[in-house]
Amino acid sequence: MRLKKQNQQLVHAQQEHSKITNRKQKHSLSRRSLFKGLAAAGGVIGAEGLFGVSGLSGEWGSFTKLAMAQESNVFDATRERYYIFCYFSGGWDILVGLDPRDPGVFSDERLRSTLIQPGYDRLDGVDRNVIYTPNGMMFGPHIGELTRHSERLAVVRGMSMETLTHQAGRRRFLTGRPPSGLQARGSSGTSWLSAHLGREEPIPNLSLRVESFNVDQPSYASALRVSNTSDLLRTLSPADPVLPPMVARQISASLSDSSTCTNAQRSAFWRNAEEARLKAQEMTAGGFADRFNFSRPEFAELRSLYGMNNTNDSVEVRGALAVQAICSGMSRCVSVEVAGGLDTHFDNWESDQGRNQERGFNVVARMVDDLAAREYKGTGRSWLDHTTIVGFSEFSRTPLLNANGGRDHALTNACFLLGGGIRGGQSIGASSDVGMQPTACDLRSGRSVANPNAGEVILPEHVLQTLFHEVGIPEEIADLRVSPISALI
Amino acid sequence: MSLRKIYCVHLSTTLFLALVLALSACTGQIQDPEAESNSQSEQNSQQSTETSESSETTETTEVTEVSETTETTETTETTETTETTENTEMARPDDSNEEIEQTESNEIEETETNLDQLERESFDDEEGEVVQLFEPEAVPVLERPRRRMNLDQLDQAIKQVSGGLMWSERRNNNDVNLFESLASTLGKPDFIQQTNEDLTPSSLFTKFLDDAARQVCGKRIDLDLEALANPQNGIDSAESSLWGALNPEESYQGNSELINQQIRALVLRFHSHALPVGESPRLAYWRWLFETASLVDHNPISGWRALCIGLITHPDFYSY
Repeated sequence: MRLKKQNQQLVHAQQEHSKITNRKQKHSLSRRSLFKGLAAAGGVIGAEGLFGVSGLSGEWGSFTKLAMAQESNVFDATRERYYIFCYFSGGWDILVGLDPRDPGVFSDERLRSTLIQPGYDRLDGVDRNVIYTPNGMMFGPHIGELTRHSERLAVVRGMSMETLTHQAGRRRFLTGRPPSGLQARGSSGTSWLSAHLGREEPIPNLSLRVESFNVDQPSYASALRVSNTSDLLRTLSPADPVLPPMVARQISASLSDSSTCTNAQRSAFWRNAEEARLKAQEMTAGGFADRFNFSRPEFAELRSLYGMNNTNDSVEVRGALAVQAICSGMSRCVSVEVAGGLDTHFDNWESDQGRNQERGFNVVARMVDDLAAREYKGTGRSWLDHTTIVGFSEFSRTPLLNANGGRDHALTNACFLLGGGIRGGQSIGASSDVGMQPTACDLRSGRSVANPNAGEVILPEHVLQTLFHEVGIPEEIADLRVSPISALI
Repeated sequence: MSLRKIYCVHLSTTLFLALVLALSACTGQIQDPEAESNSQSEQNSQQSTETSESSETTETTEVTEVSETTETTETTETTETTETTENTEMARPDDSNEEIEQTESNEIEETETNLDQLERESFDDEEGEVVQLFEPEAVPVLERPRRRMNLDQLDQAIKQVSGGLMWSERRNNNDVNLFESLASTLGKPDFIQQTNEDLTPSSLFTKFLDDAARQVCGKRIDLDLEALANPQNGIDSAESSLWGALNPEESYQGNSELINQQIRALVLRFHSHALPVGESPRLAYWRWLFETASLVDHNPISGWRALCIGLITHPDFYSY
């Protein structure tokens, strides 16, 4: 009871805070020029020091931050933000994708001193070298089509997962909290964001083959979690078999009536069940099923864009479905597994690791294309301007190949962010050049720093905190106890 | 009276009182003199309205107590008291020890009762005011939080109440149990990625449960109608039937008591709630569903169907 009361208070406080934030935002818009002037003055006299560091971010002076917001966002970022979390299941090898090493420098001859073995020469069917993008970013040979979007892409490197267990790593990234054993603590980031932004959407939080947790957020923010696309279609389809409408209404009325009795009101379970039942009715009444039936003729272009061979469950179909869920107004946050089969401890690393990762990166690249091509509610901006894509995996793999020709689990990880609100074309932090260890990072500049006291090692909660911070979820409620990565937004 | 005489009288009185107190202490019956005096003054004030008979009785009791302790002491407290003491002493035969003991024990009990009252009163006096303790609030009976059935339990429960029917789909000429094929989506652990079953009553779960209920109840009704239409097949589905031995075409107005009885039987079968014979709120609730569904569709079978679906989709069915 006490916990529940606290949660209700938290939710209430969160809502209040968001109202205040909105008011502040509106207020600040009307004083744009004033803030710009103040920020300029602050640049001369050290605005951050003069006006004080925000207790929430710990990174920017208030006025500087507001002025930056005016420059980068001409819309209300605290309300018009959507999210797609792309999960690469099994623990990706960042050497072949997001955090590569030049094999010319990190050669087998120098293995003892670097403890890094790119192993690109063992990979199947790719150009065995690192890829440089025009903006100077470096990627591994299996980054695939994602390089096309390097201008909008930000990569966070040298992140420590502090675990080598699949479930623990995955849950750490999803919730921003170290699990208790394998048990997730706290709600998923998508639940937080959905609770904050997505009350109006019929399915605020949709999850395709990705875990989701909701322990302290409103029930509408709980993810609708399905394991494949056909199950999603079945979920969104009207109840089957069909009953005479009046009979169905009587059944619904009787269930609603029973939920008002004293026993039901005392039971949180019952209340949640009733809320879920009504939500399910709303979900099926929305006619969303047709929007995800990609076998229909009107989706020919979409099938072509994503390279769908058929409309059975595949990462391409899931990617298309995620974008469709966002753009059709059905969901605020979508979590989707875009790659699997990455847990390559044996020589399947050579054949599967790179290929599966690349397929996932390609899907993400097409999702970006799709979002960029769709206009956001007649505003002239694209859906990509409003949608933040986050790519993650539970951890990485060892920089040295093991005796079986595969790679085991390593805690140094990377992730990528792209799209709305993200400052692209940059990499934040870095892993060390000896054994790819996590290193400290200056959160303002995003640069790796040699002195550990001059920065902090990036953790998954830094990434979530950045997203929360942007939409105005206060730290005192989210309680992630880290600062946002200012350089990212 | 000379001063010496007065002094002697006072001294003897003081000694007498001291002895009384000492003996009372020996028997564990120390009285609070202040309280006693208060109570006496109260009694005195009350005595003005009491009859003289009752006042005499009170005095006698008090003096009897005193007389126990002052066998050899001169009593000079008041004339009335002395007289009564003498009377008491005179009335006591020397050799009747048993009687004395009996009297003493009675007196002790009586005195204990009085002391209890005195102690309470003296406590109140010391504190200065009577404290009214709040009646403790009635603590609601704590119930275990409900827990949703897992998929296996739900599948079995539906089979149990429907006479062995399951939520299924025809695929490749086989009936596929949909609770099994949708297990992953419905949160059943695969023990690779997931080791705990998701038991939240999510919208996904309620949607699929509704589908399952509609299908299973429809199947049950079809089978029962078939059994009715073809009695020569010898299928006796009365036990698992929704309407039991009733005629399914019969409306509530036709046979209200038998229908009530069948509804009670269904609630017992689906929810394990034994409804009392006669009217009850729960019976009225389910009968309302039966009647209204029958009326809106002009078909009592729709009432039985609605009742079946309502019973399965009700939290009392899928949670415990």
